[in-house]
Amino acid sequence: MDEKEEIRLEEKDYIGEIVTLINAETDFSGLQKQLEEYHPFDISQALLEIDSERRRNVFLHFTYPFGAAIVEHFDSEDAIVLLKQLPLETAVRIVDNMETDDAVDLLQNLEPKDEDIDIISLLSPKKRAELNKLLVYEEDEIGSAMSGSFIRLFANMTVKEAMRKVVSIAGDTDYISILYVLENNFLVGYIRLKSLIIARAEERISDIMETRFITARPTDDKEEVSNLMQTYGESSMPITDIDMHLVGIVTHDDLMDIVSEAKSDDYAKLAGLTDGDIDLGRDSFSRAVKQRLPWLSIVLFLSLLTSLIFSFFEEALNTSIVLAARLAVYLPLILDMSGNTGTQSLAVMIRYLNSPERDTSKKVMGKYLLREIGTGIIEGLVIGVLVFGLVIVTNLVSRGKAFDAVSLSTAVVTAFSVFVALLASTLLGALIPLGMDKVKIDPAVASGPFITTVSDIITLSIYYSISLAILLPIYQAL
Amino acid sequence: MENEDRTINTKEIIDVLKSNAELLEKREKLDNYHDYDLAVAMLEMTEEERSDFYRILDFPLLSAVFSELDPHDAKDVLDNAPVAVMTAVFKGMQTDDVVDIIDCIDDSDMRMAYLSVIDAKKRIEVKKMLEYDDSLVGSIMNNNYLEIKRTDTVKMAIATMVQKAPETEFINNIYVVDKGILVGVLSLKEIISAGNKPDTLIEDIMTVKIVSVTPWQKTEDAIELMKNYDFFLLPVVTGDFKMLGIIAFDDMFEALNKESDEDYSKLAGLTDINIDEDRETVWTTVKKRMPWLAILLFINLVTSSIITGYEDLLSRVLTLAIFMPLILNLAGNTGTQSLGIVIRLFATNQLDDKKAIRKHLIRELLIGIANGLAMGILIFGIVIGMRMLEGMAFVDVLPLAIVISVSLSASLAVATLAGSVVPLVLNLFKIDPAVASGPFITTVNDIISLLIYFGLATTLLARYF
Repeated sequence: MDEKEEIRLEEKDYIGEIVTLINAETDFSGLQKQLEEYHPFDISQALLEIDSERRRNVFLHFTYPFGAAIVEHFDSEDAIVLLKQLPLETAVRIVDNMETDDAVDLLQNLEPKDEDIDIISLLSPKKRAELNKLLVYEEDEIGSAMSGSFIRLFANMTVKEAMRKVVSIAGDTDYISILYVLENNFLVGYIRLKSLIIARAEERISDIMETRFITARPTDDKEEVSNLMQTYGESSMPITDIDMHLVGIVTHDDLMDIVSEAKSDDYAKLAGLTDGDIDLGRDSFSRAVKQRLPWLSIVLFLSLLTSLIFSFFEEALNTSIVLAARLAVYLPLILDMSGNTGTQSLAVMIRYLNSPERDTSKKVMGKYLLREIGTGIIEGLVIGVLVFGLVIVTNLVSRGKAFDAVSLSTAVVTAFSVFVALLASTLLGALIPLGMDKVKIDPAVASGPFITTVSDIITLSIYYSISLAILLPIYQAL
Repeated sequence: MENEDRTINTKEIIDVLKSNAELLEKREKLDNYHDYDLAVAMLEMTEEERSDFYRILDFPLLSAVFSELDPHDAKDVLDNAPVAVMTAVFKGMQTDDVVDIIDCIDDSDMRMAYLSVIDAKKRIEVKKMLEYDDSLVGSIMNNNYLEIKRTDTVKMAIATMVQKAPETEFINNIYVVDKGILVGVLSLKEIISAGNKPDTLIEDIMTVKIVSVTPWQKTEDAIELMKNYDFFLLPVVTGDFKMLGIIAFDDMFEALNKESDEDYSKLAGLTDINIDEDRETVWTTVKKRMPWLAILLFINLVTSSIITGYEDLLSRVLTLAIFMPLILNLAGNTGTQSLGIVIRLFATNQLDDKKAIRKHLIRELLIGIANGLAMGILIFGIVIGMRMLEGMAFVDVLPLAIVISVSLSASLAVATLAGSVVPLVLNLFKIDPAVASGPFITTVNDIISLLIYFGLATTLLARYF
């Protein structure tokens, strides 16, 4: 198996080919013809590799639609850098030819001080209207990702008429796998191009279209819509207003972006990173520090709470220095164990809440939380018993006495604290994201660093209050 | 809201089954529902209703309904279904969906029984795919695609399309194959647009700059390609470009979900992040989480024994204990951060040569130092400030503040590096890098930080006490 895994295609280095091609040219007038064979993604990556003056010149020789298809594959940041280099007129025409949702992405990333106002006001009226329609939606609303480039059929068309329409506009349309059927401007059904192709020419669209379909509102949450699309395995989903007027569609490539962004976001939060997009080749040192420092600072301040709580116990601990040192011995162990159980149950809950299967009805959540309690009890019992043995053995080694009152009481108290701490952390790990979800905050915010610190605080309080209450008299009597 | 809708659909569907209508009429009514809704309803049916359901739906549709189910559920339903139904369902199903179902069967006799009802040609394919590891492209490919010849005209190609469309799930791309070798691709859009020039030869309009994968590549590679190129389908070929099959966007999503779940589980220290509300019990949950906890407990013996060695120091300077959780927590988190990055770098094949690894490690070290300095300076100010507010003199606080801030800086620098080095070393020795999960790194960093902290405290504070 290992050898087989090595088999990869002899890398067809289209990007390299294009770079060579561009660098060999002095006059770019014939370049577009040569490049049309390549996928716009490869061209975009190649253009990012050549020097920026050359890149600018190349773009001046592309037709606007060709240039736009390439810019669509740039990151917003790269696209903005390029557009600023180009004459305003060229930049505006390129944006004019971009898919509306990509143009929105780009314009949303322009700094307020940039000339975005200029670009928008210079666009063709049609594009400007389309853009403004999308720009009213927040970035996390599905409306901001929808596209208008699909084919609308009418219910009273015949298959033949419909097919003629498809053939004539397919070339300029982005998405043609599913065609949407309107009647008096209302969405009444859809038909797959595949079914249209095999239907008889004289049949009416209204007779062969599918009439049960799922739709979303433009203000619906992106991730919820993507979950729905995945559940139904559809490659597109119509977006309608409340009266079933079709305002746009979301397609599989938007879905892909939404899903991978959401996943990498969750992951980043669990790891305590501000951004889950990791590219070794491009990430600068300062970006890498920026990716981590924010969470570390938050953890630092939250951890001060731990220290603060600790100092409440300081006075009591000073009355028995031996006990104070003894308790510190098991502190990292207990904090570590409960931090980890907390992270485990938190991770499972976050994933569940963000999955297509989520169901937060009282019944399901009740069962879920009961199960977490059960899990916490069992884990607490097992780990507690192990810790008990551990303390006894440590005492045997360090003091030579295993079963005297000091050793036994320390073991019992430590084990009991572990039990309570594990149970509490397991439950908290599930409750915190659930609570945040109820108040409509993304549960992933309560992620890795946050839960370990909260669990530190709780665990430390449990450990020291139980230990001091029971052990202090015993140790003081020594 | 959504859930309510689905419950209503289920009820309606079962009502249709129970009604007195003619079979054909029932079929027409059921045909109105989405395959997914039918699948959900099927799970709720009694055995009796189900056998009606099988009779009413014709077979290609029944296969589609089963394809919508979670493979475990599909297997449970099929376990009780007549052999004729099983045969028919498998016949209409895409190979990769059949593989998913067979994969759910643990018992080898049962597996054989299932395989035996699949027709011979498909069975060979299924067996072949069962051999691919879950993480490889081969495990999610299928052969439900449309093939044409380079010497066909557009007209002939459209005729092939019309003829094959009913049995082909995806016709968004059409592949041009010559003696088994993939030589070109056409999108449905291109063919349709060429419809007004029916005599054009396919080889004149096809794209020859093909993007493809082999079945032995990681699914992650395929995901990356489909994302970059906005592909709906991606062809799978052998090393010498023999056409094997395609990956469709829906299978890709499954792979994407699985891939990210694995990374997520690794970071959280779980054997499996997913839960199936209907199947999950306390026991299955404990099984997923306990292994890590038990291992960690034993690694933590080291932390406890380190502190035991410094009990004497601790009993003299209790303040050391107060800042211990803070240092450990920060070191643990910074280690998890760099682990989080390494896991992603592994998954996306960004660490496949020595040079890349060296560059990454140097960077991690620098990042660790930068973060360490920033946090160290912060905590230095905080400790001084806090203690001076309590009325202590600056000179008395200074040694403690130095110990805490220097230890924090050093721990962060080392912990950041450890978060990258540990998984790399494990990988070098061919130990499953999953071992280097979040909790593991946290504990290793606990040990390192404690050594630094107490070591430094002994050297610097000993003469004050």
